[in-house]
Amino acid sequence: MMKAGTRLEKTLRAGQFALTVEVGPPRGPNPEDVRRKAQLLKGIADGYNVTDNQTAVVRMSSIAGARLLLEAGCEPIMQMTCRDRNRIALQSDLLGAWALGMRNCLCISGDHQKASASGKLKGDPGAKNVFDVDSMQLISIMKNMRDSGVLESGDPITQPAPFFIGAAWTPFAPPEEFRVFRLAKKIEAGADFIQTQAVFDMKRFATAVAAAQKMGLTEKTAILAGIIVPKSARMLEYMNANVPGVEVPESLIKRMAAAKDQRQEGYQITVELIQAARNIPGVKGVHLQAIESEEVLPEIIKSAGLLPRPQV
Amino acid sequence: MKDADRSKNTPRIVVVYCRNAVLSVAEMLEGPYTAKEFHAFFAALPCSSKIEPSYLLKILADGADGVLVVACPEGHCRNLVGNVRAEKRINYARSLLDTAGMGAERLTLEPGENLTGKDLLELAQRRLGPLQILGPNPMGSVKKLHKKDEGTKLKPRPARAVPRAKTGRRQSALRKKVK
Amino acid sequence: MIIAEWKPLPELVEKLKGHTNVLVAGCATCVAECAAGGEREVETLAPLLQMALKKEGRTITVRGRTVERQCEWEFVEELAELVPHVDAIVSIACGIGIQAVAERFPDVAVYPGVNTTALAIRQEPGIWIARCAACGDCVLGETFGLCPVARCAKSLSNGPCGGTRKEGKCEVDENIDCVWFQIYERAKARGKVDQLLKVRKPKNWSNSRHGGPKRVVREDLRP
Repeated sequence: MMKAGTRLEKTLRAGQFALTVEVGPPRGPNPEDVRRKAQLLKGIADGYNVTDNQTAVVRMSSIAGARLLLEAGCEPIMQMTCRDRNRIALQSDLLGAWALGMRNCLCISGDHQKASASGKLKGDPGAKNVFDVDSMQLISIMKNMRDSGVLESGDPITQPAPFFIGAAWTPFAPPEEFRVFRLAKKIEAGADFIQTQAVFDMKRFATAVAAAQKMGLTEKTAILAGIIVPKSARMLEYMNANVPGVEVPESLIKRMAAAKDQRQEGYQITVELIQAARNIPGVKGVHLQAIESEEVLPEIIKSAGLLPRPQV
Repeated sequence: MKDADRSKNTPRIVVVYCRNAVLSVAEMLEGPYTAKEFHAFFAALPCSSKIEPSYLLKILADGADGVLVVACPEGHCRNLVGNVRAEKRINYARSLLDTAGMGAERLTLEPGENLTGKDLLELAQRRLGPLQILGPNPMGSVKKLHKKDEGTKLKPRPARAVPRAKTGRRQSALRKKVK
Repeated sequence: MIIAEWKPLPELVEKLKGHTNVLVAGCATCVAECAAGGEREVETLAPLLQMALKKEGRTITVRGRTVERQCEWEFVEELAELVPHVDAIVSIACGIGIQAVAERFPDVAVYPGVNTTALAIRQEPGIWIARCAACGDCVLGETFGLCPVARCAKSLSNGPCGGTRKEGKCEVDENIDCVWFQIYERAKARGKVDQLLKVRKPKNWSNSRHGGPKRVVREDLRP
């Protein structure tokens, strides 16, 4: 029984290895910035994540970005954090998003607004945060809006709003042994698909997925391995040291550092990571992120042998 | 020192020192001392950790140009870490002085051990240069600028925690000499 | 205790420029415990303000007085004898005390000398850590005595988020522990991890400030 009938859902149901990519909305109001990315990426993925003020930096809203993608022929996966909106606004935006054609939604807690002040940006570390509900509760909310046609309050809505519900998983963040249980919780709350935090050590990831498989979780939800395209050894080092839950093996950093053309090496590494992910039982797809350089994705996806996307 | 008149080249220095840093009771200096180049005031403490930022700031607010705290060197405190605490408090008070625009350099800490009265004077003397650079205390001449509580006292003031060091005959003889 | 910290001195100096006789009012309870507003701090701030204002060309007289608590009218009353002599009060009590002083002495300017920040415990000498968020819906019985509202940067009910750093520190501040990491550790130690597997429903925030300014009436204690 289809939950929302999205391309991503159909691809997974058909037993095909799914591919999603991330699209970052612009830090400005110009719709062309989104349309341009859509043109570049059309047809290469089963779903296109539109981030929601990622790292708490103000960008065009996820709903608007997602709508623009949809109009351009790319099926969006709207992302929703719990940082900026309370349950009233979240549910209201979900109803609106559905009305505008969104059918995939990924629920995450969201980066704290302190993260917005970094690099050249002043950001909004002085903003008040909301966190009225957390990602787990948001998943439940969406499930009830879809399966029971009710809001969090218990009040009914005029008709159900079916979404294909996504959640995040960071299998290596401490306490590591609890992470598979938290995954179980998210699935119980209603997560249909999972996109993980970026994985660079597929062997370690395989152990984590095996633990999930043992608990029967890989049957109830589709795990997509998160993969970030590395640009340089410095970027890998930075991520290893600063991004929680991301662990980059020393050997990979060394390999990057030794490469003549670090960018090319990065593409190669990405392709290898994709292949490795395909070989892990229980992993149903990959989620590719090329931060601020979505234009490299088509080439990489082609090299990984994932084009053309299957007919579903 | 209350009556000490302010003239351009005679800085007023208050020296607060740990009793244990001095060679013997005979070498302790207490009270006002006028030298050719500066007016000093000496106060002995049972341990340098007895200082509080509030005392040090009050001395400066009352018009002292500089406050020098003399503590036992690292590892030599009879109370083990009294001098470590003193240093932290002095650093805090210095940072406060900076925020007030008074200059952290008005308040300094010097280590010392087995000091004679002469050594204490010399330590005070050494502050002249830096204090001259800072200039006279903008608070002006020494005058009580904050009034005592008017009206009836509701709580008795706590008894003086540090009893004045008992001065022997030699000490008072020394005092008479320096007046 | 309620913790507070001194406002930056330039901010106070700016407010006091138009005054001549200032009272620094301290409180011997919470703010004394966190070394921000007790008698010692009154005696530190008073000379500091004098000097700072003198640098701005203003000579002011500063009095200091510390009362037991500024959140009790009986103690606030003790300031009354000093108020006729001053044209400004800098209160370094918490926001409650500052307001009590302002309410009792409406004719004199009352300025906060501190920013009140949290409900905290003195973990160690010199370190205070927020412990309670006054959420009005206490779940400490379900989180093994660790508050996820105050001590989790995202106040998660179903934590931890994916941001926990190595050694179990919080993503947002590496100096604080991830409280959900700690909750899990305690659950594990008691053999009660299964208690953390239930999806906790959204909180009801209405019994806190979110429900409107709090007002509590106890009829049994009314005269």
